[in-house]
Amino acid sequence: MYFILIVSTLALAVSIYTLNYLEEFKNKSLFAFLYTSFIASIILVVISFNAFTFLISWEIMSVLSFFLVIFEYKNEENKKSGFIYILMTHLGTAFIILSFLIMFINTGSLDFKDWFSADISTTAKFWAFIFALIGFGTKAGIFPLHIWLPKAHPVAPSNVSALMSGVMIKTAIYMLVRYYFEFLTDIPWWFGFIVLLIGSVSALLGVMYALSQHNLKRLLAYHSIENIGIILMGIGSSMLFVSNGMPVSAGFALLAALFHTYNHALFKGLLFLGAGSVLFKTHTKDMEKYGGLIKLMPLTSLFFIIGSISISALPPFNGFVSEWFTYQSLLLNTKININTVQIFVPIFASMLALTGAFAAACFVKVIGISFLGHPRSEESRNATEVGLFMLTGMGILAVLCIIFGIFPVEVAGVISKAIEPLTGINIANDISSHGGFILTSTDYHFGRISPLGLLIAGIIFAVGIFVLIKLFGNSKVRKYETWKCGLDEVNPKAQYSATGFSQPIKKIFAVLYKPVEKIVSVENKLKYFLPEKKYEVHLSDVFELLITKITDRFLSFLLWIRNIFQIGIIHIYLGFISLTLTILLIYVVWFSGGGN
Amino acid sequence: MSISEVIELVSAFVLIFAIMQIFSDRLYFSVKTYAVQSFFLTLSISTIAVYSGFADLYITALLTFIIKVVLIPFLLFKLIDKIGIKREIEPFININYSLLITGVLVLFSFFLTQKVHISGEVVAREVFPISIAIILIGIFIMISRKKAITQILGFLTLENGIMLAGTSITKGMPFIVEIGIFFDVFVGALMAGIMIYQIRTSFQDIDTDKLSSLKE
Amino acid sequence: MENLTIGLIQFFILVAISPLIKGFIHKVKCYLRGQKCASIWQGYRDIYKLLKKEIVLSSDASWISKVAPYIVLISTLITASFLPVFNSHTLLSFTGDIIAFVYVLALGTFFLALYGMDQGSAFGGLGSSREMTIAALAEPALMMVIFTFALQTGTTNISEIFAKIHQAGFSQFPISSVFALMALLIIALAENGRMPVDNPETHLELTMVHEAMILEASGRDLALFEISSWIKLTLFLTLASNIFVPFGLYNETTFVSVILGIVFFLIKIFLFAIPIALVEISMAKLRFFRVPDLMTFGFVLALISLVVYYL
Repeated sequence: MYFILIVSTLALAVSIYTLNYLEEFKNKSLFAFLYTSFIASIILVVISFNAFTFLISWEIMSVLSFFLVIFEYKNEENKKSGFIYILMTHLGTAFIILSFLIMFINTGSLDFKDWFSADISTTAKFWAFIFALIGFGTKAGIFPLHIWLPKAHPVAPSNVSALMSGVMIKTAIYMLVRYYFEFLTDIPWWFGFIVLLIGSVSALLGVMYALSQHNLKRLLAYHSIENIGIILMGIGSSMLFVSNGMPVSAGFALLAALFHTYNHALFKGLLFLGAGSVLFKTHTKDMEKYGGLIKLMPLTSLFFIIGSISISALPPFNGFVSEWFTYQSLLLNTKININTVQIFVPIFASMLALTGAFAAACFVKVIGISFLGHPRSEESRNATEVGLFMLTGMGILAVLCIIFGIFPVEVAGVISKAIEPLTGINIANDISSHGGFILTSTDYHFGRISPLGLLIAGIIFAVGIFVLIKLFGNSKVRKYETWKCGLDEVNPKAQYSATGFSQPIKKIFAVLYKPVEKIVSVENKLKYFLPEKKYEVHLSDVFELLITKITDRFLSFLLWIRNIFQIGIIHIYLGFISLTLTILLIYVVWFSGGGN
Repeated sequence: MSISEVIELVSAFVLIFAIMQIFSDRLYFSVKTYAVQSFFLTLSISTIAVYSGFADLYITALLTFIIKVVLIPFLLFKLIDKIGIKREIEPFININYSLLITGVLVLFSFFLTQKVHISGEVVAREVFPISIAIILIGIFIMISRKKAITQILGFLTLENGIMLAGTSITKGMPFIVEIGIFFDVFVGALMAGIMIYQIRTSFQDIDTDKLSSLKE
Repeated sequence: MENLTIGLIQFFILVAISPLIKGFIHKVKCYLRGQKCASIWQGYRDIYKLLKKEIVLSSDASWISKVAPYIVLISTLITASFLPVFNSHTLLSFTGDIIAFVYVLALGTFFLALYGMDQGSAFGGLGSSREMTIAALAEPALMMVIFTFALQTGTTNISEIFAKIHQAGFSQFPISSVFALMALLIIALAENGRMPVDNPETHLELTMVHEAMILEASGRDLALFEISSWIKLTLFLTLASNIFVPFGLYNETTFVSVILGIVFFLIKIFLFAIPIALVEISMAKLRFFRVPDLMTFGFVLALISLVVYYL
């Protein structure tokens, strides 16, 4: 039910947004059809109660989203990305089927109801766990199975990417939660540890690749990977508690994960819609061509900045609250008396800190390059504010971001109802106390925050500073142009670029990016001037390279086999057929007892 | 604070400066760090001396100070001036990873010594993993760096670790052994210095990986 | 009421002495270099002077430029009101714990970096890029140190952490504390843009980080930025001094003990300011790409301190 709430919230906002955004497309009725059935299929996935209907609606959802991804099918790049998407999705589905099969063999039923606390051996559990992790992980985009995500999201229409990132990949999380908390009970502790490990690695690497992008939508797609990682960290730490019999903490950690799921749907939806608005007006995804949009599209910029602060987990917005929950649950993890957990969990927590800081750096880059400064190209110079419906769609999400950030206890109350059947404990009473606006885990006395208090304190300080300055300061303001080191020519290209902004991090973590830098001398046209130089840098995703390499090896292996057998002489083919027949006959007669 | 805590504190500083050796990419700075590290070693030994009141520990502390804080650094400074190479430019493993590996080494040594039981009277239990960590770091410096001088420093760090373990966990080694070690280390450092100078004059460099061309 | 008064006093002392700390560090450096130097009250004069001047705002600036100085100062002030200075009764300790402390400070950094990008000047972008890189790299080490103390004391509430450390005294986990202290020193240098990471005294294009971002600021905007950076330094010094020298009358609220507490605190914080001055005069600024090594160093130290606590 909880997930349906998430779906509906985002779908409402995105649909309102779509009213305006549709102008972009030629084939409006087709889009409307695909779009609405996509939303319906997502809800079908969430409410399906046996494996069979689940798989069917899962497939419907995947195929529909594939059509939406390649909606602008005339572009070659879109088709390619769509192909990778459908390929990876089906790979994932295959693993899901495997996992379901294991459950089916061991319980003899396809109903999810019969799978509850399934009584199966540890080996079977392990394989079900791994296959489910790979299968749903592919959909959710965990490392290293994420490669479809940064390809498919940018080419899809922005409202669809908002839904895909905000909701569709959450269905995978939904099933993971059901799997690990309802079906596979009584699990060894290292299941949770694996999930935690994968979560933290996904979070860190996702944000680091995001930082190096300057395609706005691809950057946001990488951030989805990061946030899925954070959600998985919550789930993993909750699993650790479950396997150690600490239900209250387990509920707390699961709350962190689910809260972050909702938050991610909100702010990532908002950011994709914001990116869509910018795209709608400038018709380019390249951040290096934006600039100065804050003056041309003031409301869009404001909403985008709200989304950015939320995703960077800065108070007083919602991202901070759920990340704080995650930190607390990781701290609580150290109460588990296993040395490995005690040593590694703080390391994961500091990886989370690094992730948060990189996310902030990344969004400083996005806002700084796209919205601040001068316009860098003709397209962005002519941008105007988008239509009313688009603004409303974004506005709803932005307001929700603020409300969730300031009144988290109420939200947590809702979520804890969803958690209750999973862990058997209502933790709403354990987390809120002292008048309802302070969050604390009373069981362990670890800490508390009050976002509302923070906000009020901030306002009081703001008023205080303002009064002091009015009393003592000089409030005259003179407008003058920016200092340009004494040069008098104004050239927007002199501004810092997106590539330049992330260059230090690229250089520090060169292992991950494998940057290829080169300076190209464009031909010397004028005799007395220095040759024009162009600086190019190509970055790649190491994991993508790795996967390409593996598939490459695999394919060439297949080809090698094919080479041996397909010689091109028809007699030999006939020979193969008869050989196969003979072998089969021998097998049937000797090994399986023949016809008796 | 009890006496064992003082010793543990001081030896923690020895470890910090050993890690700082890994951080440094300048030879001067490495030598300076070594001197400070040895100074803390001296402090540790003198604390033990005050605590136990053995006269030979005072002498050990004094010798450590003279040889390790004054003489060897002085010698190495001279050497660096003479050969004119001041920076460790390209270590085999870059500094960032070296630091992380060092962290792992320290973790490892703490894990390792968790279950070790030391017989006899123990003054400061925690010094044992620290000194193991210093020894490992010394070996790691010798493995990962190219310049001969840093390798000597690695060896000296290793030796400091042994010294720390020997003196601070219990109340010192037999005096004659200590004197022997001092003499060894001093002469060793001296000879290594001369050798480095020779390497420099014949190879124009002190990268030890160039020495592998000698094998034919 | 009593608690509120003490909280207010702590808050005002922290804010009021921050220019003095900055002047003091400068004075120590001058003394060691054998230079003549401005008086240690110079910070107050600078603020007063800047407040009286008019603002020259870039014509390319948007509302970010107008809002950013306030948000930066507010975020530092909020964190200042979390932090117990010499007594456990703080102004706002119920609203935030030590994780919130880090994140509220990060909000300030976020807007500071946006301010740098806002006028479309190349310097600002350069400063923002570097600042965010350094801040991001310092974050894991800082979290690690925080975790060490949170685990030792079993809470993330700053007042309670301090209270427990004051109860137990320094000697509970000496080795762990030494490593954490060194890590915190490195982080403090990085977060505040002090010497081996950034030079607060120059305006040289190649080296500047913090100064580059606020290059366009003038008048009261500059005053707000300056005072928030000083408060931030004082915050870190207070944190370090209270964690590592936990002496002083921490839990009492009588008049005399408060006065004594203030005196203790002042002595402690000036003592802790001296090492910063020493590091600054004895080290050259690191090349920018050596900073990650320094941060890793800090992280490894923090990690060791955690491990020592467990084993």
